[in-house]
Amino acid sequence: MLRFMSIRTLTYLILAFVASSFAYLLAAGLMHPEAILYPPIAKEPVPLETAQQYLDARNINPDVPLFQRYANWLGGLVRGDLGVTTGTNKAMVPVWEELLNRVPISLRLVLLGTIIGTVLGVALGMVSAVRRRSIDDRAFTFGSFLILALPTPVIILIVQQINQGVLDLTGWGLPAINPINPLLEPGSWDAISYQIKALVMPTIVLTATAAASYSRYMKVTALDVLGSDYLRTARAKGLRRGQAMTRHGLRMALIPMGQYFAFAVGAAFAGSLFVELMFNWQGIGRFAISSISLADVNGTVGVVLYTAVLTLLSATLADFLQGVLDPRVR
Amino acid sequence: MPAPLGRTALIRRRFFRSSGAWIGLTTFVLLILVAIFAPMIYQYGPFERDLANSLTGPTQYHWFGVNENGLDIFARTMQGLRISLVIGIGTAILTSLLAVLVGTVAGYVSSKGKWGAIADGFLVNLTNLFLVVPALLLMMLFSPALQQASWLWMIPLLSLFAWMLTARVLRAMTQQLVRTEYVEAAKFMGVNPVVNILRHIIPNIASWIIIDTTLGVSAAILGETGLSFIGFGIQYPQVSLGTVLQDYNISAPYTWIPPAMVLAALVISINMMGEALRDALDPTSDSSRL
Repeated sequence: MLRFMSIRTLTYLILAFVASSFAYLLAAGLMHPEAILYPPIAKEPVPLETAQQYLDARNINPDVPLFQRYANWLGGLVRGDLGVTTGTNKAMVPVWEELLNRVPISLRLVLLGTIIGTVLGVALGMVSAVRRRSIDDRAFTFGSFLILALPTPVIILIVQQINQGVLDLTGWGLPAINPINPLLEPGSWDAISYQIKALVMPTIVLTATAAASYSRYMKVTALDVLGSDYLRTARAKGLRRGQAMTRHGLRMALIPMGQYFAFAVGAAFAGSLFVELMFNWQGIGRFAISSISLADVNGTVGVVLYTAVLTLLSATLADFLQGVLDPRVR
Repeated sequence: MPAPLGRTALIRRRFFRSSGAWIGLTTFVLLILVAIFAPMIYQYGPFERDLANSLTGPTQYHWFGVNENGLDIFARTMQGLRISLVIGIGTAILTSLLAVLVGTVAGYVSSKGKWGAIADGFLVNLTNLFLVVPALLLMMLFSPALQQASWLWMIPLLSLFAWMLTARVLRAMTQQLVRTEYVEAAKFMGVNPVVNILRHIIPNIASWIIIDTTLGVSAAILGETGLSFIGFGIQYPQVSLGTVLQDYNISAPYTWIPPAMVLAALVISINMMGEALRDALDPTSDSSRL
């Protein structure tokens, strides 16, 4: 088990490294953060020396070869330094600090959405498979079909519009923008309850999308398991369909699901990008959008590194779950 | 005695037996016709401003209403539908081509000695690498540069990050087929590997490819709308359903409900056709029907 886990983790580490290096070279090659020193952004010419200093301080000097800049970035990475934000924004905030401020905001969304969505999806898929062709099955299948046919922004709009409708009708609704209310005193019960209420709608959105795709996969694997010989034996022994499924089938049906988990976190990140944009949360997703549109090389690569680490952790967790569930892979 | 049914006739008959296929096909054809003809006869263009009527609901002049910037929502939705359809269909075809290429080649060479195993390992790792890279972020990186050249660049861009899962399935299917006697026989008769793949492997995995291409259209449309919505997709001189949705206003629901309904109708109709095709092409799929 330990050997299996360490080999897998090492592979993921290499993949994360390759992905972020790739992202650095692409971002540094495609973006032009030095544009801020020239017209039309700069109103008057910048002296050459000042310009060089400005560019070198941010490691974005186009006169330095691309691979030298990559080596500088790599050297920083080894020391735990991700560089400073660049681009058309002149503030030199360390990327590390920016990420640290924003990760808690995004992570609670992604984690809550994935965990609730996975559990709900597995449960719904199980019910669908065991009670095949019943009303529940039809309702769940139709619901997931509908959710998967809509892009995330539209799902968010539906949730927000319903909330707005309820607000107009009853005068009580959930907060639609900002994760925290800056007017309330931090630490007070009002502020905490506001945070919890603000979390409800984004979590519904992420949970719905995750549960929809999960229940579909789960239904397929559960149906495969239901058709297997050992489950027929369990049924012949006198267990009911549901009992046989939970006691003997669930474990087998969950094994392939473990591998989807790694992708689910990535999908939740993509979903959180829309959520953060439309609910005005200043998390990593917002940072990703702004740093790419501002041509912020270091910031963009920081976000890629964050998603790579997130995928790495979830893939490791998925492997761990698979190892626990399936003794054959240990 | 009636003449025996050919394979095509049988599939056609199975396909049209399901009501889902009829609903899906009718809606899809209707949407294509509307996308082609509506912008020709409608009196407003997607960028014509009618500021006097901005933020007014549907009327007989502005069928879906007017948004905050005085732009007609119906005109924009129809123009967006055109772009989204072209991108969706184009991306699905290109994605399937990429997936077939990688999947069949990797599956075919994997059993061919040491070098085959190395080539297969390389392709498998390439597929896995594309699966773990943050596709959305990379698309956001590339897209603005490509959009300056042409909006059609969206097609290769979306395909580049969409072929992996299909390629993995096709590789596994090819590996099974390579071991069958008729493929082995063709191999020993000295048939060129390319001819062998085209003649014996692809026809056997064709049903999967067709289903996947159909469902790929809706996946591509969803990807494109999402990317355009956050501002990294289709840019100014063109409009897509994503950019139309971008102008949403919660206090005026007509600004987003009509384009969202058109988008939903499009995706649902394609998915319905895809599911009906799956049933028609693969009679054993009943147990694994989603």
